[in-house]
Amino acid sequence: MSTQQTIRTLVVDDHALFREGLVGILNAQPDFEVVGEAADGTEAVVKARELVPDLVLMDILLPGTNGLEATRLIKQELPATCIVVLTVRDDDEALFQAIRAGAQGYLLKTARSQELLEYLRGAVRGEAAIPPILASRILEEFRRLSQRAPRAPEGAILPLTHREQEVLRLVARGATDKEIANALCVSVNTVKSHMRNILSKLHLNRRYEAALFAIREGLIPPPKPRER
Amino acid sequence: MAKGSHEKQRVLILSNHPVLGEGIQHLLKEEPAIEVVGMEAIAPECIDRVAFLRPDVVILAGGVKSPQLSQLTSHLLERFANLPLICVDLERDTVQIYHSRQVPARSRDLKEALRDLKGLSSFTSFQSGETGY
Repeated sequence: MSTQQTIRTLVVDDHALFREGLVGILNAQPDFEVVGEAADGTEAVVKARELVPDLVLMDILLPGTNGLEATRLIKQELPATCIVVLTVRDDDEALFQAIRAGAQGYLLKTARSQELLEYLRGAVRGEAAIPPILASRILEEFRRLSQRAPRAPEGAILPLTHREQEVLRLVARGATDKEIANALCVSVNTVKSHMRNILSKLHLNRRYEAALFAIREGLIPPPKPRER
Repeated sequence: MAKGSHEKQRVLILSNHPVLGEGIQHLLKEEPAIEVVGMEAIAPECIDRVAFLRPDVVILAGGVKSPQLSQLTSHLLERFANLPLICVDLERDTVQIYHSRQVPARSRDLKEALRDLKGLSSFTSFQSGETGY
């Protein structure tokens, strides 16, 4: 984050009118500052390198280097930059590829702008910017993988306390710190403290990584299959 | 009779991609000659909203391949034969303007198209209290 405490944002989308509208919405917010725009993946990588933004809003379907590849390249060079995919594609393949490429979030263009802004603010705070319906697909995928892959041997991971597992379970369901605090009748600071301990024990940096890792390793029960 | 040049052009935005619709609304707010009279999600009730709000122009914004949007486009053209309709396709970098022409999907081109449409005589029917479109 810059010293002005604005979220310095790079907007990447090849649809000029969509991009211009989005830039207008973001610049109208006191806490966002659009520092650059790009219309294709290659330009996105170049501009990210040059501007070192806090946040990149990335479309997937771009001419030349697509958004997923651009995400991977930017994360390689700028691991601290938060990248959130904003796309019309709501298929599982694109979603999983984006997460694997290093995206901190995956939002659909069908979202309302206020909802989008809240997700983006959360993303730069380290939260996963993924709507519950898409988060459930990720969890389902990890449930599938966890059934296929062997579990970590006993003691390979420091055991989480009962309370930490409760926090992690709620994180895995997409709850915010405030929602977890309300659910467990503790303060937000206590939740943050639990999260720090969880991340430290799991040797991870981000809360969504912790949730996914925990499910994969069987530290918390896998989610039930999605109803169709 | 064309609409007076001093009067604001009343625009209704219908969108199945709110960020696109809200972005267009934001861009048009900067234009002193344009008044955005509404931003609605695409639904069958949109026909009634058009009849009620009587905009000079409707902007349909979203994925044109969506059956909802293409169905609404047909219904609007059928019900309001002379209604100027600008269709912004999220999946293509162009704007389709019914009764007019296709322009690149950039805000300056959209604004230019709206200015061009302002002179069409079909708008005047509302002003004179007739059934409209």
